[in-house]
Amino acid sequence: MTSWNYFLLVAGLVAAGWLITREIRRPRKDRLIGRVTATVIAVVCVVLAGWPLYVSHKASAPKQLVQAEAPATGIIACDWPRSLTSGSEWAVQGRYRNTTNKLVTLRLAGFDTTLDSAVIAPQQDSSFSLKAWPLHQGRAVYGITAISGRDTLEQQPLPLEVKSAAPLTVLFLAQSPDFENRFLADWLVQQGNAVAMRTLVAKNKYLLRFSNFPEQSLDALTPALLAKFDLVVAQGGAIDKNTRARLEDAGIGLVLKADSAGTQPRPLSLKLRSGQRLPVLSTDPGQVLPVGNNQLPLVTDSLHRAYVTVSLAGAGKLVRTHLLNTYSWQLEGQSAAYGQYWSAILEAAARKKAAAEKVTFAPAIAHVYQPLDIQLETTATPVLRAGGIALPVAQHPWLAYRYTGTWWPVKSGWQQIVTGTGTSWNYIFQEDDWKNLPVTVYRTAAPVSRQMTLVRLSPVWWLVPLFLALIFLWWEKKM
Amino acid sequence: MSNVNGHMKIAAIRARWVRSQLLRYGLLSIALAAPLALFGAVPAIVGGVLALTAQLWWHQPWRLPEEEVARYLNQTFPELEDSATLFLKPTADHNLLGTLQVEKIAPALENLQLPGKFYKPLRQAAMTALFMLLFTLGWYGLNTRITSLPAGMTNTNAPTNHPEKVLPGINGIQITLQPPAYMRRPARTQSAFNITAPDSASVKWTLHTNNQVQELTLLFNDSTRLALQPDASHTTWTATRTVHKSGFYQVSMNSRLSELYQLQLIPDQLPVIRMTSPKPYTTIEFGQSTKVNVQAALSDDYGIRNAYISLTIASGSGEAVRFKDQELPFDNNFSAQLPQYQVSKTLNLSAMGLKPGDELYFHIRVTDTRRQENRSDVYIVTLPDTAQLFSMEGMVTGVAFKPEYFRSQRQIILDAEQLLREKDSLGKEKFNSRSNDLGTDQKLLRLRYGKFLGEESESNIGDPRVAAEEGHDDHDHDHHGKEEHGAADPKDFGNAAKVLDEFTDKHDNAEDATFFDPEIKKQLRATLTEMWKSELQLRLYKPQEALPFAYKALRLLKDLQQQSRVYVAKTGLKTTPLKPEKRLSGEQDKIQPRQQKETVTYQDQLLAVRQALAVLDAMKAGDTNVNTAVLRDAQQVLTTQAAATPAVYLPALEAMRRIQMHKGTEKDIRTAQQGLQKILKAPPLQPQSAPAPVSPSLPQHYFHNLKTGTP
Repeated sequence: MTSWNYFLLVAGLVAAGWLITREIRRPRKDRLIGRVTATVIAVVCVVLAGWPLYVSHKASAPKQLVQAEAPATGIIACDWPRSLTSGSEWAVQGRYRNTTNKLVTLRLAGFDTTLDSAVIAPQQDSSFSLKAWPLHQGRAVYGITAISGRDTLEQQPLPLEVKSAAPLTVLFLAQSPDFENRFLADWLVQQGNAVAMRTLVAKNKYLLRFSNFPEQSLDALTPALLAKFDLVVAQGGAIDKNTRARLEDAGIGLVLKADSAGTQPRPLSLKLRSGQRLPVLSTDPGQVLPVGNNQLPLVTDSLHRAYVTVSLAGAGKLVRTHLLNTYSWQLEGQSAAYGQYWSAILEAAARKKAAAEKVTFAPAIAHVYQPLDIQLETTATPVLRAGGIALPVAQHPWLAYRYTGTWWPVKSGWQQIVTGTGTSWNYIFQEDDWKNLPVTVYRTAAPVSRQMTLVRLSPVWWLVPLFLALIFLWWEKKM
Repeated sequence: MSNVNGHMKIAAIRARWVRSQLLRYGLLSIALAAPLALFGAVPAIVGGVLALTAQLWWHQPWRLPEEEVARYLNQTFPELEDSATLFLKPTADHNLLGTLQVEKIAPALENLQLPGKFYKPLRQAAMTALFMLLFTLGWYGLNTRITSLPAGMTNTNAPTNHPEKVLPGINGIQITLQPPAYMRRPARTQSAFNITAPDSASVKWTLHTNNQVQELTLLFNDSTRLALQPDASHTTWTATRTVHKSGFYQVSMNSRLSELYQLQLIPDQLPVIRMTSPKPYTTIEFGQSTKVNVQAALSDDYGIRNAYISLTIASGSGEAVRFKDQELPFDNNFSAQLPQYQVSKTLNLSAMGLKPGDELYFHIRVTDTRRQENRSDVYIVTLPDTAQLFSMEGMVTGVAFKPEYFRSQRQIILDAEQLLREKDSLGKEKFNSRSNDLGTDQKLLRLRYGKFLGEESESNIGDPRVAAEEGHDDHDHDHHGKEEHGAADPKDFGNAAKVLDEFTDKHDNAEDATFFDPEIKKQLRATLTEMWKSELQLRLYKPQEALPFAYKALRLLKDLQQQSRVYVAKTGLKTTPLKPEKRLSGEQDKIQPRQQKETVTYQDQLLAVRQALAVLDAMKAGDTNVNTAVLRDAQQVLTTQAAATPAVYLPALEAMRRIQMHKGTEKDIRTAQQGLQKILKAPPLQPQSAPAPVSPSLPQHYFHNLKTGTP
């Protein structure tokens, strides 16, 4: 019963009680029973007119022999990153259709530990997003479980491979020593990344820093030297036009810092593009960056003013930032926020990691005893071995580096795919995993069960006895 | 005869009336008690009984007179002809007419049927009670339904206390835990291997075996062995050890090993000191009592052995400062070694030889029965040196900072002391009047300082007209004085500005308000407060009591003066001589900026544990060809953790051992994974570059062609 029903019931009871009392207290006592009955009928009819009542309605059996499509229930869509670098957040997103009358709890679990959960309301078709920070390194199978009360409705595996992060190589160009570069470089070096820094201290005099990077001259930024870096962090005046053109050609990212941070800073609460909130930072809100026209905001405040934007620059990316005092987070002990901020900024700008080969699978959820298309992109001689079988590959007619092969896996679980230069892993699901995933399932049931549908009874039907009762009461009064 | 019958009938009706009233009050009490039952049985019973008692006491239904009943009957039934009262009188009292009337209405009274209205109050009470009961039941039902709803959703992940496995052949164990003597706790005996004992407890194992056993040993996590001693029949084995560290152990019987059992120690905490008095920093003004009361609450988990106050007296200043250490016991007797004590001690500073200008530092040292010592923070008591306030040093060497004000405060103190000395020679009148004069001086001084705070002046200090009035009595000064001034100058008559000026309440001047920074103002305000108090005492003819406040005001003023002065002393500084030929040449050849080089290898300490999680997951899926080196490393980490907190990590360590011996079941894998997960934290976030398409990809072709303009 919904709250509306409760409300209706209580209101009806109160009205009936009041009216009956009035009837009994009336001086004229003849036909009292009749009047009370009529009053009760009238109140009951009014209540029932507002009460959603359903009658079962037999649908006629489908005459034509077209298979009926019944909507699937349970998890009807789900996706998650199959591979992750360690330390990053893992999001499992999808849609759940709950056709039961009970709440359904979705639980994301790894190694028998619940990591996150979501609740789907009864009779709801809603999307969910579960988050976790995987602790393991390597391949593991997490699970998502739909639970209603004490019953487990559905349990599906979520394979996930966590790889260790590959270090970045960052070049800093600065016109003067500052805290921002110093803290960022320290943070990067601490995590094993390579840093080279060139800071102007006097005319043609540079302060140099090489961390995890071979010592060399940084006076002339030649294309060969720049090619060693994934990313350049520079002030506007510290980098010239030629260097920028070289970066754009090579696809190296550039984080361009504003020369001034404004004159009227006040504390602002910022948030990342992912929705992650950052601690308060003292910033001048007058120094905002234009957005739109291929400028994508990375960091905004509550009024959606952008302080960091990213745009395409040649083959690389250009990040402009007006936040020059993020080191204060480190000083405040907010190193987690500092890490999140700079990871987001540097990831947006960093040069894409070139790979010799790339393997993709279709469909994404591969079942055992079902064909699996493997696409291999390579410039070398194509070699593809899956599950110990060398697969013959077909070359794409126009894209000469693209090859495809089909594999029929016979074993479930993590399976190794060996290519010419490396190995990758793909998880083969059991036959009955993720059965509901297609949006509709085709019913092939031979005995077509008769459809019983619930149709709401029209409230007009209750008006007839209501009017009759009212007419009786009116007539009785006139008598 | 009919009279008697009639009387009985009326008595019966009265009894029924009383019964129905009683029942009604009972029902109403139930109606009140029903909702109270939601809070528990006791409130319901108490509420019900109270309500019933109150109603009975108020209404007293049993006191219903029969006349009342007769009157009711007369009013309700016309056939009684208003004569029901006749039945109540004895027959002898009736006159003829009365007897006839009784005879006449007796049958009517006999056949009397009480109307439904008679029971109306009872019905209403019954309805109320029924409604309240239904309401309570409905409420209760709804409430239980709502609260039972989320119960099914809760994640029941509580660790189950699984029974420990005992080696076959051992049919009885008895472990006696004897806490150390100082704890004065009785020994405890248990029949389970997992031990939770107080620190340094002596543990005695007694194992009974069903057969003769050759050897029975306990293996501890620090790889020590404890051999159990057999009795004559070789079936009862005993060993004793005093444990000082948490960890775990195994039973080895004829070189067969049991599972791991935990050995968790509860440490003896340090004693805790809560100081209630004095404050961390106390200043005793000149003239105040030099006794300091030290009060503290001491507590420990087993018992307190002793407590002392450690005192350090610092006297002198500058390089001539001397320290004297002293240790004083508290008045309490600690021989009972209770876990809680309230201690107090009065320090008589003058008896201890503290002179003005000296400082006393003290802290409390407490030793518990384990002889663990804890000490409180250091508390400081200072006796300011009043002599220094009079030194002219600041005036002579520094800038004169409004000297007249300080002189005034000092003058007030000097005058007050002079007055006290001359008290005996002066008469009481004279003494009081001089004290009052001093109070006036103090007031004037306060008002002058008040101006700096932007305070409104009560009487216009500095106004020449008021200055002439200074001799006036202070009390009627305000009203009286102003009236006179209003008519002082006939030329000013009708001068609107002048009149307005006279009667306008001029609030604090904006310029005054910004004259000093807030910190100085705060201090100035504190000074004014002290001046107020001093003035009060002077006006009450108590110069002796006024002195501490006056001294404090002077000290605060002095502080203020010192604060506002910036004085840079001259020092002999030699700079390197400049070489004019080198200056402004712009040559930097010889400057070599620093080059910083470093190599940092980042290594995740718990990488093996992270990898072991994945390896175990593969094993769970049925993979047998796994990396055992990773598992070994992870087990090592787990062993160190289990030694520190065996209660958390011991099951996982045991499961890990079984897995290493290829005896692990899926349940073991789960247990091991859960234990490993408890060690791990999320790894730090690192920026990561996205993967690029394989090198001569379509986007690269597009970009190249766009740049060069050739297809």
